[in-house]
Amino acid sequence: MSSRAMILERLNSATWTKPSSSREVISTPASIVSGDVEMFVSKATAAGAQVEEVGSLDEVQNRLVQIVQEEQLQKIVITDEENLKEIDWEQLSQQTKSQVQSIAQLPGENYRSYVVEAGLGVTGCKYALAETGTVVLEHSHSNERLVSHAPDHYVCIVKRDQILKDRYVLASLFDSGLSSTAWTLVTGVSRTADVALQVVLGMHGPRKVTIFVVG
Amino acid sequence: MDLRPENFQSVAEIEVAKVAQRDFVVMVAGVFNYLCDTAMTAYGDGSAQDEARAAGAQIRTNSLNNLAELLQEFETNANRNGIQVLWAADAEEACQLVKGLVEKHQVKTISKGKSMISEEIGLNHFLEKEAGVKIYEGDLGEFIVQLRGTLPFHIVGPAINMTVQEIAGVLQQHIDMPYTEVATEIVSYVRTYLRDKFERADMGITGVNQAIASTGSLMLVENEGNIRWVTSAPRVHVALMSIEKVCANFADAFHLLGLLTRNCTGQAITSYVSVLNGPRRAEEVDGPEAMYVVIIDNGRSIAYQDPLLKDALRCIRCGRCGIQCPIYLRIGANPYGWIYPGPIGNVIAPVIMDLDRTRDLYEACTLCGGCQSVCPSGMSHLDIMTHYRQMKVKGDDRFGGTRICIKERSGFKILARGMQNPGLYKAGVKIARRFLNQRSQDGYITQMPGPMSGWFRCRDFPEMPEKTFRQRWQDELQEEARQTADRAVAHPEAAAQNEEG
Repeated sequence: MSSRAMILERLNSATWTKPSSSREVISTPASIVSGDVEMFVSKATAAGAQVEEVGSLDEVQNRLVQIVQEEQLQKIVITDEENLKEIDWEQLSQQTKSQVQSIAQLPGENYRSYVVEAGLGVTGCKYALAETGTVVLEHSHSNERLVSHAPDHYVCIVKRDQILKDRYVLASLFDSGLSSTAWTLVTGVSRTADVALQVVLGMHGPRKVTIFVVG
Repeated sequence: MDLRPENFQSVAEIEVAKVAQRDFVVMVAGVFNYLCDTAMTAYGDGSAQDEARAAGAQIRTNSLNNLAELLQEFETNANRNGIQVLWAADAEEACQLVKGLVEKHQVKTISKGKSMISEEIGLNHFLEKEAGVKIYEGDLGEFIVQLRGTLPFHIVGPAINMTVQEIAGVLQQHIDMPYTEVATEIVSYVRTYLRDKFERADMGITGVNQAIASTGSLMLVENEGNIRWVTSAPRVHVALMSIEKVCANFADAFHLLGLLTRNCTGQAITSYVSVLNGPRRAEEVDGPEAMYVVIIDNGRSIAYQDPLLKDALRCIRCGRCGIQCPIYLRIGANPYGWIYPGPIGNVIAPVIMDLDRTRDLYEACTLCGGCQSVCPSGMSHLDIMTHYRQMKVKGDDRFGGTRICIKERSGFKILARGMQNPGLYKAGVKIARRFLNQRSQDGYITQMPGPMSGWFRCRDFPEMPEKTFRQRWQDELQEEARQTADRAVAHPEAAAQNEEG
């Protein structure tokens, strides 16, 4: 008998009485509920992110120029998402004298070495959660996983209408079907308290997270 | 120190004397209890928090009631997502399966996310010895413990008992870190050191916080970001999960996630929650080419058949019970002699090891109920531990419990008989008092020959007073009767009035 068969047989042969109803539903929100932007900003800030509300992607571009110049960044990696295409990256590159690469332009063999050397990674997001100040990333070839994780500084661009109320709303969306290979919920900055309970930011992920809430 | 559950008593004697460690752990527990209590207020007042915990308990009940069905549903959906699901009956088989994957994919180095199940099956030691691979733990605490060669102190904070000086010493000795006691410098050095390992690793190994049956997805929870590296950079990802880690859907998983993080680190959510649905697609660069889930039993399906012990599988590994436990806070993790210290060790270890080896664990519990009162998954720790004690007394072949010896059995039989018969009880007490007091020195009985010697090894018993409580009570009654009689003689009218009244 295989281990699988043996384990399942033991589980099925338990003699204690199981309830006749197969499953009870605990809580599933009926519909999508928009989240409160103020709460999102407050919670994301409390989690260690720097959050800025801006009117347009032009403002995001101006702020990115400032960030790149202030931090003297040489390499920037961006995802191939639609909302990022509205930013003039060529102009930003010329203004800051930095190299900006979209993952769409990076051949597979060059992608990994570039992304780990980049000082700044910029992505959009699929959703955000007001309850916890979380950005929800849907990974694919246009939003590779390490763009938001390998660079020291990570910038996420969130549109106001992407903000959901809480995780239960997200759960109902996930339960209706997932097509991508991976999702990540990012809340603030990578951290550890393993050295004598002292909280240190930037353990293995970005040391700094900036979120622009647009619109 | 030889850290094994069988050595609980001797190691506990050493550990309880470490006053500085004890004070630090008690302080840490206080901080975490405050953080967790504060985080739970997000649900509302006390009754709302109870409701949130009750919902968590109900989710775990549902999962356990439908365990076989959910595991098969998960397997079907995971397969459809391109994840290969393997099943292991025990630790040996699980290690062999992973070794097979190491060989199949020609793996030389492995990076790991913190995984208690991999510690449980002894995977690191096995793979390094049998497959010749180099393994790097990615979680900072786990990495320190790996370098030091000791057991994790707590399931969430493996090195939380170590001082900065001790941590710096270990890192200096093993990875040539320039000695520093500045936490940010330590973190920065390890970040750089491990990042290179993450980038080059051929295989990533993680645990699983929850497997979602309805979609065949895995949910992994962390703060440091090591799991994101381990599941993004290597060509192969192997996720290890014990059979009980499955839940029906994301609604259940996200509710448990909230309870887990709030009772673990006092956070509403951790820095990263990864939801993984399969290996990378042809056009993707990050993520593994091949992805495996190893579902591990290791004694759990036998426990599942017992109506009470199946509740031991409710645990979601938040570790909250540990920081409530008066025993764990005084002796720390080492006496438990295994990877699950504190109340969760008392509950899980007997199922996975055996009742004989782990006897001191479930017998050391004071049954105060602190663990049970905060458990977000509705575990009845006390019922389970008293059940283990009963099983041990009666003997239980399923869990390696040898029936207690004839001397102990006879002793308890005599005690039971005496307790049921007042005459025998009185006579027994009379003999026992004389026997005990003959061995008294300076008002205390400090040792005893024969079967009672173990009890006195770490306890002193005060000398028995001259009279028993019953004798003193009898004396009191007699004295009261005498005084009443004396008053009746001195004041006959008053006594007559009292009688009439």
